[in-house]
Amino acid sequence: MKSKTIRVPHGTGEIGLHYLEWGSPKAERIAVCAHGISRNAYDFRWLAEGLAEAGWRVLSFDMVGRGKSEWLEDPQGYTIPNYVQHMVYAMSKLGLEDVDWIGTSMGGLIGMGLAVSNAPLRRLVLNDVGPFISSNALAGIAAAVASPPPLVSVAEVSGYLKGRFTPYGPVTNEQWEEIAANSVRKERNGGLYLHYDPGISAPLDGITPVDVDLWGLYDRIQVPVMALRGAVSRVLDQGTAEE
Amino acid sequence: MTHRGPHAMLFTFHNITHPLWLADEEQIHLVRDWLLGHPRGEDLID
Repeated sequence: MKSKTIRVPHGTGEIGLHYLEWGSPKAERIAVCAHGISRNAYDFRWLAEGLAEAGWRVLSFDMVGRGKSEWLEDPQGYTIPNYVQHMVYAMSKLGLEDVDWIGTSMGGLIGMGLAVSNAPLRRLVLNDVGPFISSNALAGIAAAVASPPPLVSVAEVSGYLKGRFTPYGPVTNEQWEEIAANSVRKERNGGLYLHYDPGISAPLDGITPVDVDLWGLYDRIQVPVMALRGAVSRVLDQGTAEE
Repeated sequence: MTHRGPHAMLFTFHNITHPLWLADEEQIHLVRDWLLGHPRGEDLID
């Protein structure tokens, strides 16, 4: 696994995007992974290794404000259209073609945006997200990412993440430890904080959540789509999934 | 199961909220096989 950074245009300047990379740079198959709203590139470590072993070059990005990517000066810029623009530039600059896009939640929405923007996608995996998100689900997401708690130790981070994410699928204790260690940043005062800018939910602050209906956009997607879903998902409801 | 959209496939994992990590072998193989164009017959995964 290699750790790299690319600078992409943002507003009148540019911003640094960090990404992790697995597999041979000469691999014929390319996959790009994009995480959920409060997560980071490391989430795809296990899937990326599995794909790299099967011959893929895999790149997993920290979106701005997350992981080791830079934070925006104006948190109102934490929007899906901006993330799509960042990725259009990054994929072009890196010469990525015929990309298999694997997006979890917010990362899936970015993939949908790319799929209708002439980005060079080959296939699209939407993990627990679809073209309809209820206002209740949005409100839940905004509340969950606001004001991340200060934490004292990696063990405490692990406990916090287990409390929040245990229903999110099978993860071994070893994996929890890795996830925790890669979900924090250390401040100069010695405190540990979750790795994201608390401002990432700023565009949602003070706004009454409404249902998001992206069926018009979804119907313009021309590449094959795989939708993954937890049976008790709060974001991708059964009706939307089955349609 | 085929759904709205070109070649759209749905896979549901039982008993979880969200397959966030895609970290276990079952999930990794499912995604890899679909990307290779070989979806498995079932669309419900326990």
